[in-house]
Amino acid sequence: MEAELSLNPDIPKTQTKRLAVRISSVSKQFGKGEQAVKALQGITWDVAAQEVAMLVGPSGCGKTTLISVVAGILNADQGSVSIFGESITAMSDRYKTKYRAKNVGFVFQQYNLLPALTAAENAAVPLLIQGVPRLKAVKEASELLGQLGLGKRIHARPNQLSGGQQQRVAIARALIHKPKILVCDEPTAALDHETGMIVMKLIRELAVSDDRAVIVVTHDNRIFPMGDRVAHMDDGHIESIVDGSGRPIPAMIDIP
Amino acid sequence: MGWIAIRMLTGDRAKFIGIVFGLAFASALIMQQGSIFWGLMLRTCAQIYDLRGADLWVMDPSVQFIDDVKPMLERQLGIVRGVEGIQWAVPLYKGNARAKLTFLDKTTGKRVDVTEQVILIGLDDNSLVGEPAEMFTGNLLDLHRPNSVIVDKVGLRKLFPRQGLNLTKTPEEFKSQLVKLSRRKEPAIMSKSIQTNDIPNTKTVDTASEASPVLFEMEMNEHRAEVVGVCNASRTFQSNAVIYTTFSRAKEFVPRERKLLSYVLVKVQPGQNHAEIAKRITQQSGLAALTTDEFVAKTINYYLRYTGIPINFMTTVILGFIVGTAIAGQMFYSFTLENIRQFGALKAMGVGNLRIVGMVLLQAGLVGFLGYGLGVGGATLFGMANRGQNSELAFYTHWYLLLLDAGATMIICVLASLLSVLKVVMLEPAIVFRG
Amino acid sequence: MIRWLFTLLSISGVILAVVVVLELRKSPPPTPPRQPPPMPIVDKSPIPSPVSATGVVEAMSENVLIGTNIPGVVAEVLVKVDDTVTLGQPLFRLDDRQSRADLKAAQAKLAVAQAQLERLKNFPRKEDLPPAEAFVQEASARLADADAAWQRAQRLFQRGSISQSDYDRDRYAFSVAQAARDKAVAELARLKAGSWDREIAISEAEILSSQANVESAKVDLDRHTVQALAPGQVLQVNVRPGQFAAQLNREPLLVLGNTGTLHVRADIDEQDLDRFDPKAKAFAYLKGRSDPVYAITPYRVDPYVIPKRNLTGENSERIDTRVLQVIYTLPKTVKRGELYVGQQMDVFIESKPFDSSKSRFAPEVQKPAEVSSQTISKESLKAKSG
Repeated sequence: MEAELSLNPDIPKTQTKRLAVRISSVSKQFGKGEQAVKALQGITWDVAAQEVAMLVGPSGCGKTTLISVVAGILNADQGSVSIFGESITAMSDRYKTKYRAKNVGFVFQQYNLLPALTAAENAAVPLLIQGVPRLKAVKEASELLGQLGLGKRIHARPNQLSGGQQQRVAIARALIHKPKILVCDEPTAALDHETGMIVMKLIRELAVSDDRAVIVVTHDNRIFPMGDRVAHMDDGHIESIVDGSGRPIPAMIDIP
Repeated sequence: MGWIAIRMLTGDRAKFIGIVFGLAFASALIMQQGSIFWGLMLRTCAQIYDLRGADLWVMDPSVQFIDDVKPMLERQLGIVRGVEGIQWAVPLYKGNARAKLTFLDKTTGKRVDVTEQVILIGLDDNSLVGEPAEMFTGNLLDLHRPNSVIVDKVGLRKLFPRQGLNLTKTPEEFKSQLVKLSRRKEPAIMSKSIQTNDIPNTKTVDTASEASPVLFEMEMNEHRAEVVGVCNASRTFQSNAVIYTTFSRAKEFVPRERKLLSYVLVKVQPGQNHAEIAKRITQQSGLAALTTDEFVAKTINYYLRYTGIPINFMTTVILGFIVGTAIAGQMFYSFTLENIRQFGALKAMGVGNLRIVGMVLLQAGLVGFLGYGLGVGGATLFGMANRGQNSELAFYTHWYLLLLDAGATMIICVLASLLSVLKVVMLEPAIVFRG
Repeated sequence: MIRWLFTLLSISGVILAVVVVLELRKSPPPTPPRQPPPMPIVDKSPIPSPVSATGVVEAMSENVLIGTNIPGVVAEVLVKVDDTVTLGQPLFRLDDRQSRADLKAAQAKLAVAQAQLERLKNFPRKEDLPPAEAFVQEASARLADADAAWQRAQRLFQRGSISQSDYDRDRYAFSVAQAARDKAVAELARLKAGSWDREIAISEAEILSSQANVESAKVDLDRHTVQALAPGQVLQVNVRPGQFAAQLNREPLLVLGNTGTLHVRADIDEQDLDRFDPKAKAFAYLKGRSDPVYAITPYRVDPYVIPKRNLTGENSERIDTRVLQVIYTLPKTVKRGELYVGQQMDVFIESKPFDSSKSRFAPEVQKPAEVSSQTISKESLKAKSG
């Protein structure tokens, strides 16, 4: 834990920060009638920039649904989500797709790298989606991978890389286009503890910035301390919100 | 993004090869069957194409295809000659005759008597309009000699059954092959003077330097026929031997009939409209006058309409189409399913439906093109291997068969990718978050 | 990389297919006929809608087919093919031995008849007269003797010196002697009178008959030698010594003809008669050839439409149609040996353009279009000839 804390000594944890994501009264229901499953029931939660927000809870508690709504790939039934003041829930589907391409970074549990592409190419995908020329995009991605310590592996295929390396490629992919929000779905679940910790450190080190929200979904309690704002969810509700050291904090941040 | 789609596609080598070969199979099957079909159709009109130099074919109006000879009175030739705008008109006999010949079997040395149905072509005595396209051995002008006929090379195999005639030999070897089979000890050589005397006033370009020997003899309608040459004729549909002789001699080689004028070949005066002259001929004589292409179309149309050939081939082509679609579709769909998480990730990362569909279609198009290219290439190689005068196989690729095949392959690809496209379009990107 | 391999193979496959297809499309250029068939084009301008006919070259005199009056074995042929013969020149001779013998027999018979007449005319023989005269004298003498005897007996009987019977005997003896003398006189007179003119007439008639027989035998003999009844050229000799020349021979024994000028006998199909103009210009080609062309002039029309003989060389009769025979004169410039009598020719005769509105075959609906096309073609023709 000490080592981890020393990684980002510049960021004071208790300092008031900019509001990044505001989730207010979001509800989502799957199915209809008697078989309806209420996945989200009036979630209200704020995430600030410059911190790592964590969403934890048992399977089926609704955390995946919540980040899907936050990332703009699922429409909420009620409530609103805004990211740096921009309302996601009010966007049209088309605009939302564009918005995602530009402003959202994803890190998946199964990495979801394209097996046919090299590490650098995989990392360059978001730039390519935005229409950056291939060579330029791959060059940028290679540089970023160098920063992530994969400079020698940029031409390797995903199946030639270890899990940790793959997840690092995935992180590079998530950050390459400098998104406003980074969504990490169980980034450590497929990794051993040590690698998981390295990955989390990387996220803290590279992802956290003044104009970016980082949301990590996990049920790996070993990494809870690395979150600045940890929301415990169960059955579509947020049970409690604590900081990295376990002290309860309010759901709403009282800042712009 | 296109190259990503392609890389995704080629990343799974086994599936990629599978899809491409599936499509190549369908494409090759369509092209090969189509070519064989078209080749057969062309064989039905091989003799129309073989006969060059005339512009119009004049025939009885009820003639439906080239072998459907409805003979006319010989005076019709005179009527056609009297039509304005005609440069010349010559008679053509086309019919079936029965050739009888005797030879000594190669292995047993026993006498073999052969009676074989042949296609007899009687050319205008002087002009020889309708002559075979290419002489293999001998000189066409030897037809001016009494009793002389010329036989097509491939047909010789029917006249000398089971003698292992080697069609690939040089003319000299081929001749000795024939002479050995027929019972002649020494080829009878006609003196040059007889030949030239026979045709006075000739100013032909290629006069025979030396008259060819008689290769063998046959008997048609109790008349002796001396084979003085072998030509390369296109294979015909019935694959009977084709025997060329002059019009007046042809009349001796067939049983007596009142009408013996099968066709009148017409050359239109330069600068005249063929259709116009054809109409005029019809008006004056009541006969049908068709250009080569029209006659070909008529003949093919007959076979299409009255024989089961097109249905047979169509069935095979449709089978190829279905099998190709099934193979390619199934493989393509399973490929899409395998990559569904990747597609989901891309969708989540902000790739719109249109672009995703574009990617899928690009993949389909690529495998389609590769399959098509391999298919038509393979089919063409197959055709080339079976090409030539000596082949039994009729193989002719019409240019629009290439387009048709391309269209069919495209349709297969579209059909095959349809499920995948639906799957990808319906895909909820949220699935990427589900482990 | 399988991708590139496939792409390469595929592209080469398509290229191969396209190349092969294009190559297959190329059809060899049409071959011009070895010998251009006869075409109704003279000096590069087409004969307007010609009437086409088949013709046969014949001699000016038409072809004289020589036969024989009487069947027989040929003994001698006196002319060769191509000889020019004059009127009355013997052509060939049949075996005439029998005729000669017959002539001789007839002549002998004539001689007999003549001799007979001569004999009749020369009656009586001189040698026959003296005996007859002698007989008369003898009979006269006997009469005188009997007369004397009867005179005597009369006197004696009157005197009664002899019996009645003696008297009668003498009387009758006198009568007998008288008759005998009359007979002898008559015999002499008959002898002197000579032959009976009736008999001479018969004999003369016999001579005439015999003479006629001789003439007949001569003619018969004459007919064994066949002569030319018109001057001309020997075109064909089908007769050789030793051959039996029958009267009903299919092929003529000899063909004569005046070949000074040649004619073409053209068979014009009855279907074309409405378009045929007997005075129109006509052109003849060697059969099946387009060169040379002969401008021929009308000579005569045989005004009798006959069944067309099929000129195929087969001798069985196959009547296609009936034809009008028109005879044309070939130009005088035709050299000897350039054309031969009996040769077939293709004849094109200028004629009125075909009236498409009269066509039996024109479909009703198309009529307006056809009329316009006809005028167009006429104009183009004019343009060409002009």
